[in-house]
Amino acid sequence: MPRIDRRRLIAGVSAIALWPRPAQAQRLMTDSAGRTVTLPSSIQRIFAAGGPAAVVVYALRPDAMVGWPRALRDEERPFIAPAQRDLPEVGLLTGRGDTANVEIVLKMKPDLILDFGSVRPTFASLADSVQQRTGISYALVDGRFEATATSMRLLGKMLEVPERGEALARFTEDLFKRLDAALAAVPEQKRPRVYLARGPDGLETGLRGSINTEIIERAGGRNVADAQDQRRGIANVSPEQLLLWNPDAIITWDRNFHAMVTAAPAPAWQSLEAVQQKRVYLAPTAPFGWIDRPPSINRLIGLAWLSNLFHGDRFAFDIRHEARSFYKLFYHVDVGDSDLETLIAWADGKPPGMPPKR
Amino acid sequence: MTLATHDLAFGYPERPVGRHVSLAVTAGDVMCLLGPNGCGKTTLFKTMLGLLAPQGGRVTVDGTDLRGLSRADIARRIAYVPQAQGVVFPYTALDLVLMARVTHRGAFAAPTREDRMVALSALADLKIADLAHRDVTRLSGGQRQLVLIARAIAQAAPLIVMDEPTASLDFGNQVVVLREIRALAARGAGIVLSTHDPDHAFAIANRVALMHDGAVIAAGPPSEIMTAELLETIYGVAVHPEVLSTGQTVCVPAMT
Amino acid sequence: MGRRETSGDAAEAMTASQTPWVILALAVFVICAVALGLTVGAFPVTLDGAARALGRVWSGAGPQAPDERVLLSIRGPRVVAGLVVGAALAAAGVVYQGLFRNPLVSPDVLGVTAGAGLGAVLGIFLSLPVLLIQTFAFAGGLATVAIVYFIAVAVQGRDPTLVLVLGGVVVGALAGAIISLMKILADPYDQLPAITFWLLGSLASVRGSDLATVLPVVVAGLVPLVLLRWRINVLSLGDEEAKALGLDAVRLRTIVIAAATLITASVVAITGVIGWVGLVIPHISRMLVGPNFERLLPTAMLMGAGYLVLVDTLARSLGRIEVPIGILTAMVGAPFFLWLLWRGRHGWSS
Repeated sequence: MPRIDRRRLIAGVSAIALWPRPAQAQRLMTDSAGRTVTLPSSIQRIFAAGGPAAVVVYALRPDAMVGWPRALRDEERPFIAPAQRDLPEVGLLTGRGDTANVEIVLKMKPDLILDFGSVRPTFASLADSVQQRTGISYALVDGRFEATATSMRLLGKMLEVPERGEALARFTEDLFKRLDAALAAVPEQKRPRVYLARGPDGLETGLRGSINTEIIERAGGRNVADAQDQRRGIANVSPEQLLLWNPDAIITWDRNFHAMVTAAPAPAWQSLEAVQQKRVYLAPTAPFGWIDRPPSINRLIGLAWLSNLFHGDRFAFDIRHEARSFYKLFYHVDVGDSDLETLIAWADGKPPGMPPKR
Repeated sequence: MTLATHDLAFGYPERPVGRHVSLAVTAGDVMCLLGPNGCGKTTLFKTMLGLLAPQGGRVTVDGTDLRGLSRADIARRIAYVPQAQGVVFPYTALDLVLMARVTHRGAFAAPTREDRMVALSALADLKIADLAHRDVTRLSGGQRQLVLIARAIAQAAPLIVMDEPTASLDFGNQVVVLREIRALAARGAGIVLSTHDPDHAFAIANRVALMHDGAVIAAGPPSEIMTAELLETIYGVAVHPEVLSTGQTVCVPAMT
Repeated sequence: MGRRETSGDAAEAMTASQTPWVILALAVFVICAVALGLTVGAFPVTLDGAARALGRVWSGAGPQAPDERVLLSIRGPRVVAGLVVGAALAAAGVVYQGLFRNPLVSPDVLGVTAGAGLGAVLGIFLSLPVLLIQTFAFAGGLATVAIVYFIAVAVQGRDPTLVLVLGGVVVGALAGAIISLMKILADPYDQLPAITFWLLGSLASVRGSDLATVLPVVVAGLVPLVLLRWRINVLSLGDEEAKALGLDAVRLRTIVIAAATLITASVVAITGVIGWVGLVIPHISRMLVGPNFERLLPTAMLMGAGYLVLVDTLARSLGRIEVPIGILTAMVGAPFFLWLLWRGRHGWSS
């Protein structure tokens, strides 16, 4: 055995001990907007910039959530895992209402701010600005339906839960594949014409192409609200226009509107085909909306539900089984029997008592 | 019909203006209130009309305290010609004069033909019938003053309170107004007016009250009250009343 | 006495005799607007269809054909709503402008619109059904004016109308601030768009039942205003002169404010906030027939009714999607008003 040179040993050990290491291991990743985001090696606290992001963070890293954009309502709580039910309300950072005081964000000391939704330049520059002001990394991820699988994988890597991200991505891809196969044989003209009724009088809707209604086309329907110009987003329609469109089906999550139009439809609604054929569908909204509110991955269960409503003969949907497994996979809850019945009744047009209590 | 003040103290809540005023105007009287600028004539008139609350004493009409009467009751007894101010809306002169007739009709009424005749004749009395359909905001101050006087005439109240009715009038119009006042008194109205010109008092008044610093320092027939001394007291300049060959008295100020 | 003949004076002299023609022209205008409103729209309806629908109303039978249904259930109530709301807002505006002797005054001056808006926003925020939202709006409007009125009574200022206006500005601003707060607290994906659209105003969701409820209230408010037209003239001279002329100015003012508030709160409750009608229509009416309320009130009501029906017809036929009517009333009213001002016909003392 060669004699170990003590000097060399000391030199080697000192070299190792004194070698300059980075203060904290950091990773660089590119978000969906093409921005390079510096991520700490271990993300313990994530601030969700808006409703859609909150759903995603809850699905992927519930342990890292610092709070909800809005406090949970009573009827939503049973469908959220106990550990996250009482997280504080921290407000929104982007979107149409900007309530999160930047100081609150700083006080929460998140490792990362995550936004999920539009990645257009406006929002990218907003992300840059918040990042600059707070010094906290801000990642912007594409929230469009089509990008769901990719985004889940990206987020899995980003948030250090690649297996979960993969699981959610695979679920999405399987669903889309099954759906596309079922719809392949259905030509455009045979697809049902659908109207999304928003607001208490139902005359507010989302225009074709908007993020609020893309689920309609994805489920094999056609949104009747076509402004035929560049506009996307939300608009008000006149009852006459609705009569002209005469949609085959109406979807909504507003309980007051649903009650009105099924029990005692106002004259403007009475003569609609969808109302007369009783094809007005109420989407549950606990813990998150099945078709919107917010426009995030919570829509996937609604997508399956709607596809079955629109194309029952081609796309099967066992609500009992699918709701249970979806809520387990995405929301980390084992839905109890009575809660499940509540959801099923809700999706069948019998929602729990109105108005919802906060 | 008599309008009387009894030991009246008047003024604004934060600012008393006058005290111990006891005057009476009755049918057929023309009382002139003379006094320098700012001595409280307008405030006194407003209190006599019930537009300001008395700070002491009382105002009565035929013995009834004003405070016991409704505004409509008061307006049926006393008409008011305020100093001409800007009118906000471009009413026609006729519309403005017609407004005096509200107390003659019920709450939900519109002016009747009789009202219109009364209004037009009031305008004619003052020789401004041609202004009937003119926009009052485009009239001169003097013309507007005449319209307000016509309004008081149309109100057909037995007592009239006029606040400097000749203030913005040219010489000719002053004479028209003075003559009209005398005619009204001859028809039985009781009129109290304030004026800056002592000659007017001599011309038409049968009673004069001299005001100084919120108090009436003398009251009575013009010939007794309007002496050189008293006039000098209230106006601060030497004035000589002169009786002309026609019997009319005029005041001649000393120019040196 | 001097005479100053200017073209303006000559125009004034003509106005009084012109009035019957103006009223006639406006009546024709309203009828044309109604005809247009009934026949123009997304659903194809002809004059023949309109006649048929009227026939059904007359005979008491229900609608038979689809276009009759559209007319009787959707377009008909909407046109009637336009008439009622337009007339109501114009009447309230013209009366308030006289009462407060100020051309910049609209029916909102005492805060009724802000209060109604607050009530409705609260209703939307609490996810209440439409009927409750409307009730909240109505109650909010009335409550706000009541608060302003009691403030004025308590303050007992020298100039009561000034105190009322200032009180209205303050309370209205407060209500507006609370509305803004609710907008921030509201769910941006759910309630916020509903709030925004309500505040922009629309006749789209007015139903026959809404009209049946609101019409008696509006009539109850309009009747005293119409009957008291002459006295409102006197009131517009200012408190002192009005009292001297024999009016109980305080009581009359209370009645007028109550009536105008009732009118405004009830229409805002069913249509949301429709601006400009209560500000511009009174002006234009005054330019046409002068300030005398005996002529002015009916003129303003007719003009407001026809105007709103016309603008609403435009709002629903410019495209597939409705343009919020509050936007249109401003865009149509403002340039016309500017043109009238430029022509030099002032309806106000200069």
